[in-house]
Amino acid sequence: MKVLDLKTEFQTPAGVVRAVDGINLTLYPGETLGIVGESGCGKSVTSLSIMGLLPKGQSRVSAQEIKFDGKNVLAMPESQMRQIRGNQMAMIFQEPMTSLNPVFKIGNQIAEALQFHLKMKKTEAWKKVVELLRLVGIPRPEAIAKEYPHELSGGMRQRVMIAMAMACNPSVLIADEPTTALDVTIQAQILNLMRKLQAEKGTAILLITHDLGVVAEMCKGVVVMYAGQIVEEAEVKELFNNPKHPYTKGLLASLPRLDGSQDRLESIPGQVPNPLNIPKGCRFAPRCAIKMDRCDQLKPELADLGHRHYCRCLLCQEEDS
Amino acid sequence: MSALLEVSQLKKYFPIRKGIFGKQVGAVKAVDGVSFNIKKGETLGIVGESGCGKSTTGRAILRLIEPTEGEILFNGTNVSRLKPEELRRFRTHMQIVFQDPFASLDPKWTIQKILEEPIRTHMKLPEAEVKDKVANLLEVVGLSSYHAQRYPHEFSGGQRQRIGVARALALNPEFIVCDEPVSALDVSIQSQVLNLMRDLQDQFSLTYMLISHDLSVVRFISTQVGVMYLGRMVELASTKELFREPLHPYTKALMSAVPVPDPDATKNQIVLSGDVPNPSSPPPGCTFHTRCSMANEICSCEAPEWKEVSPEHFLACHLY
Repeated sequence: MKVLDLKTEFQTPAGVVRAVDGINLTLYPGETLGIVGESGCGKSVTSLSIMGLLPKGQSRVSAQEIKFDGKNVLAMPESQMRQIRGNQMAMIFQEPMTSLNPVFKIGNQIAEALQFHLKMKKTEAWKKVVELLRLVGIPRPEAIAKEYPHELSGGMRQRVMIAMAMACNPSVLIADEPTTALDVTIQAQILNLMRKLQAEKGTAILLITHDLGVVAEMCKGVVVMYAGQIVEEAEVKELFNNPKHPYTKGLLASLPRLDGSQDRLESIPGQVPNPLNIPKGCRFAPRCAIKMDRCDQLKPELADLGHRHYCRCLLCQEEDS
Repeated sequence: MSALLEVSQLKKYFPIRKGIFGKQVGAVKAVDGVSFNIKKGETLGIVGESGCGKSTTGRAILRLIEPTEGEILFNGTNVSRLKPEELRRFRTHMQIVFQDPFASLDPKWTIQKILEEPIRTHMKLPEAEVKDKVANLLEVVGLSSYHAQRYPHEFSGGQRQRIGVARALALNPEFIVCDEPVSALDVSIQSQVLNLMRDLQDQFSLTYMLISHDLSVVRFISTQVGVMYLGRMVELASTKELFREPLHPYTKALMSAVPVPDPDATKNQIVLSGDVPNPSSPPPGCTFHTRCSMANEICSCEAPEWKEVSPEHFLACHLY
């Protein structure tokens, strides 16, 4: 899957907010690409835009292209998009509590996708549902399929979400904070499950998270977003060992570590800019520790540092040219 | 140094009632016999997964929830025996910072009013001094006095949490319970608030009890860590010792499950199977035996004793 120059705007009473501003992503089969960033940086909006799940009235998604399997998803009519969504492209949402329909049995919710996309008969679909539930490690799958979402714990519901997303063997899975609402021991189970399914089916995963620990464990490539833009992109080892952008550096330094004892945590002063009032030059300049005068005026480009490492900082850009 | 707070055999059972007469048919043992001490100027971190009773413990100590049983000695005063009016006055010594900075500040009150309330209730101060005190509090937590006239919605999450901390500090307490103070904040903001908490501790020689599900946060700020599982404390030791040599199988699993932000790290992850059991009908014996890889026969029938395995290192496990 390839996304080129994605822009998403929202119409709000206070003006037009550009939540995502020119994102390029390339997702390779069987790989996991992580998107990290703090709340409000546009990571979830990116995923919803790709899936075409934003309300049409208030939002405007534009892009040079969102190519999936050679087809441009953005130009597709809604009817055709429905054929792909949930079939070849699936999504896991953050809140396992609210993203399942409380009035339908779990089995029926998963079977819906099978019946719609794969034209399965009801009994056949039900068999597949039980098989899927077993695959994601749910005990007593026959009985659980007949239960309602409120009867399950958070971890179990997230497994159901994964079963639902994997039902039609999608080639791309977008996971939006799949473990944020879960406890660490359950999170470890779910991440293991995602890794296992990926190895078996060769699914490409776009993992959206704010947790750098999850990224380090799961991803091959990482994209760091700030205020609607990509500020740094690299392979996971490169990013953690050799971060270039001051924001990435700050983010890594502000984490309390489990291994050593720190006397003080580094922190990034200030806060994320208001999306209605984005700084003119570099968007990170007001919080940057090594800000130069020209940062307020010049918009940095995403500079290519080689080996799939990109960074949006004037310092990198000048080194590059 | 002597203990500022001594808690012994703290219990909180929530009754389960059924039928039109509200007959009690069972109880959720949210906290089931927890004991610990906190020394003056130190920080006890309590970790555990959701539903393990860590927040209930914090609130029961302050008697925001009436404990079912147990003794809470604060500086020699038995908090669990205080009468309502005595308790109200005693609250000046113990305060709390809540988890959700969006829900714990009244949206219709200005910051001035929010911070004034405890001062006016508990201290008889002249008007000018109240104003000064509020301005002073805001400065202590890294905000400015002009923020006092604003409303909570005008602040970001990190700033609101600072206001929450300022409110807890208003009465110069000795002890503050911090219930997941940074879990609603982004990492770059989280580190600001954690640093602030540390500075304030030094400045006012505060004693904290920090409740968190995040082991790395607990490690950063605590001197002593207690691990809870299903209403019971399973291990309690100094931070250094616990992280160097965790003994309880649950502590080990919890530590190995935390994703490490280092792609080169090699680790032996212990992935627990299954979910946390229902606290209204916990498994017999050791409550952890259903998920423990090292469980023996005895674990399923007899509850392990809470014992001191080495100085200041407490544990409830049959293996040791």
